[in-house]
Amino acid sequence: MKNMNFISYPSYNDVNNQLKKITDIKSSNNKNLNITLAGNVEMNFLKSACFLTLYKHGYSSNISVLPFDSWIPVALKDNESDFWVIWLSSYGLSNGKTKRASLDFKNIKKSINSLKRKGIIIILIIPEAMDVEADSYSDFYYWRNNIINEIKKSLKQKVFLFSLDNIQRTIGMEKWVDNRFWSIAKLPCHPDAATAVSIEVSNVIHNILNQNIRAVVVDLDNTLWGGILGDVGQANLQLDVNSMGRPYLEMQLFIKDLIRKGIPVSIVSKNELETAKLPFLKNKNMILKLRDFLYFEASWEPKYLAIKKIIKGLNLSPDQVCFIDDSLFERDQASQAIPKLRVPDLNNDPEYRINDLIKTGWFSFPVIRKVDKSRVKKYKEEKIRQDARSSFSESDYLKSLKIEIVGKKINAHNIERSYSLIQKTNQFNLTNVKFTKKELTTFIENKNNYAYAFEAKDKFGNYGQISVILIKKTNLNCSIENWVLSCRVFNRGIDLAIYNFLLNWTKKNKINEISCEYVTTKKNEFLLNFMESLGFIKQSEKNNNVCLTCLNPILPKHYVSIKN
Amino acid sequence: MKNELTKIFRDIMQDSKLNLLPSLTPTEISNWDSFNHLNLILALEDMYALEFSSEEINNISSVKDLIKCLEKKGITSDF
Repeated sequence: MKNMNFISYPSYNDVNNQLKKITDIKSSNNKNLNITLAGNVEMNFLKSACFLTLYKHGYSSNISVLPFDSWIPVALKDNESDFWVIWLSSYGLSNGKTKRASLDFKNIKKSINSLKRKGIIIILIIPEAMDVEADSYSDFYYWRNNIINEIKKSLKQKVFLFSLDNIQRTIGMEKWVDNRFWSIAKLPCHPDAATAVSIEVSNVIHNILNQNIRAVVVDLDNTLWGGILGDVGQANLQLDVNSMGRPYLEMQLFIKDLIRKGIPVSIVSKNELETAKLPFLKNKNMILKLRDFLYFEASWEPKYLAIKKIIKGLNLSPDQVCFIDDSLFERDQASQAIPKLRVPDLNNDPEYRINDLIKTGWFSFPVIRKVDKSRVKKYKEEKIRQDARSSFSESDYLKSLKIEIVGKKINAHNIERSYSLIQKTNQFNLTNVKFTKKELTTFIENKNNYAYAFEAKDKFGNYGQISVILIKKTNLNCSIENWVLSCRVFNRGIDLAIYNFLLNWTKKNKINEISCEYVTTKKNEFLLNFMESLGFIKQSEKNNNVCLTCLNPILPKHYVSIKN
Repeated sequence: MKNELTKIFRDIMQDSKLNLLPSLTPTEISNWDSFNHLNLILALEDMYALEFSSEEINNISSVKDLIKCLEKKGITSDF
């Protein structure tokens, strides 16, 4: 029997029954989402599963369903949604396989551009395979692929394209196809299949909102190659693609792709350090090279010690880091020592491991930005900084870094990164209000609001954009609506320099009082002390909300130069 | 069958007091629109493990039509 456990989906009726049992919709989930379901199909069948899936991810969503094929004009007017899901079905385009029309690209582009301008995120489901394509030479096959190519060519940059290929493969065409539902209700598949589509699309929405894991730690023996290096020697490791080495090389390419997407990868292995490096230097079959890794930790100590060191060095929290190891013993020990560490179960048989990893959903990155790609480089620069640190006193070290920050108003050029920084930052996040892109756009459009993004660099390299501050001005007072700072740049006075920047701004605008509402979460508790050290005084406190005001600011010493 | 059918109708049409009579038509039962018509069919297909043709689905325009259709598929009526 095959040892593979693919995802199975609940049926349409299952989902509706589960939904009826949920009674506490409003109270438990506080992240609100407005979602519009549209397309040239009847999207009502996707509504329940979309709601339920997002509910399980912790959102309460408000879902509007547009009537069949009516979305193009509505898109020009919508201002409310955070997400649009548009299904461009082959059934809709061919009116139930009765014609092979071309796409009305002009109007589709116009509507999509309009949504995009308003900061709405668009997931476009591209035309799906149909039962007639069981004939590999079917005219419908060529027609559909031409349309998909056109969509990719002109819309790839503007929307998240979502292909149904994988869902169709997973559930099988037999369960997918049901022409009755097109004839009666303009649904191109069985409602159970539509439920699977809805679940996967909702998972994409969740993945877009939540950056997945931020770093990976991986074992060597029997994970990146077959065999125990110390026993068999580097020349006898299983690394031959035409033999038993294939699954290990597949794992290496999987890891290499993660690095390319901006995930720093480190090695933790029970080995002598010099021995552990040998295969990377000598074996020509290795896809991964020594320079691909951030930390290379090899010793006979328990692995969690090295993992803890790496987590600290990266300034991440354990739930942002994933540990990949073939040994159940090592996985258990690490999970017990670092409870929140993400440790995926791996099959004993290496042939199934990539499938195990993909199933977790942790490695799905719908968005890859240029900055994400350069993140690994930034982490490497950071490691050099930390290594330099030990030879200086604290203040000499900070002086020697020659840090500079530049504050710029948030505009079309940096809004994307600002949005993503607010979304991703959990530690230095003053109010923990995670603006959607649309809310951020609305915020900066108001002339009483001031929104700044900060970039920083030092002698070792560029940190990129590391902070966002949102200020609302009312006469002679101002309130900090939110302030986030990337955890990569803690403890080097950059926070103080940004406060310095704010104080310069308040002076220029003749502001008497700065206030802010600080919201405690598990991860940002240190911020209250920090704000108090800047001269903020607690005014009131209710549940997790603390109102702070500052009449007499205190500016601690820092060594950062501020440029406008 | 009467009890099962009543339960499914009450559930889907969101009317916990609905008294299901063969003579009732979509205009007389609130929420019996085209979408819920299919929800009804799907619930019945699941429950009795059977399948309606598109023509049958299209032609059902009263509770009586539905009962007849189910009888034809071997589900005995107790209405």
